[in-house]
Amino acid sequence: MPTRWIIRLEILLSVGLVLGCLGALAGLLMNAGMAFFGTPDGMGIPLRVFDVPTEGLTAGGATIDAVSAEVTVRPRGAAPLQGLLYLLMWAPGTATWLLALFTLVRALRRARSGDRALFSAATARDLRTLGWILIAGSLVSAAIGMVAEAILSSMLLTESHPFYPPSGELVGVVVAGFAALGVSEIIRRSLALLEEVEATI
Amino acid sequence: MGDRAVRVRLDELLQERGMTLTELSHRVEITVVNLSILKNGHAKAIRFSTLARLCEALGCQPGDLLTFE
Repeated sequence: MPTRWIIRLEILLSVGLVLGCLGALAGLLMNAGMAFFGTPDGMGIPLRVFDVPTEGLTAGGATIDAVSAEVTVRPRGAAPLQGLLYLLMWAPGTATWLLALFTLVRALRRARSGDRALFSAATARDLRTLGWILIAGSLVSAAIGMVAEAILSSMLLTESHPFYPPSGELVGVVVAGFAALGVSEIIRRSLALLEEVEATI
Repeated sequence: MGDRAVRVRLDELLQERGMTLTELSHRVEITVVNLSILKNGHAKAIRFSTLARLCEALGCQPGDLLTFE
């Protein structure tokens, strides 16, 4: 059956979507706990620090440049503002991923029941939606996350920077979004061609 | 382009020759469904080979089969 792999992929992604939703829910609960009851042991807000002292870390004949590290900061007691800012750091990105995953699962479900599997107008539409979700969602969440991280760092650390560069995966996600848009356009144009050929007698 | 379009005069030619669509279908080896699409003006394009077979079966020229109106 040509659609067997689609069914398997759909099941795999559906499980991923459910686990992602549960993870996001757990994150929300942890965030609410942080905001209203204080941060429990072993949890905290991950923040990036630069220019960490590294004396005595290198062997002879080597130097260390451009040091950056991630620290987990635990605010004492209830911290509603920090909780909200931390929520802004991770929630938009997580929502983007979950929405993209949901769009992918929906596209696969439609492809499974359709006559032409993935080669259909519905797939082209879903891929276009997926592309825009990945591009706009990742850019917006990166911008919000950068601002939130800068404010949180100024609140919780003695040294902070006005600008925290986005992670390298942002470029990858944007490229993936454009790739989805491209594939969508290829399917759309191919379908128009196929329609013309099929209507020729 | 307005409302003008190329029309296939299959109905008239069949009537003139006292031939049915099924009979024509057997002669030109094109399904009745496709001939109906052609006859009702729902086809987007026609191959030269199809046109040649129709002209041969109906004993006419392409100009007799197609009109622009």
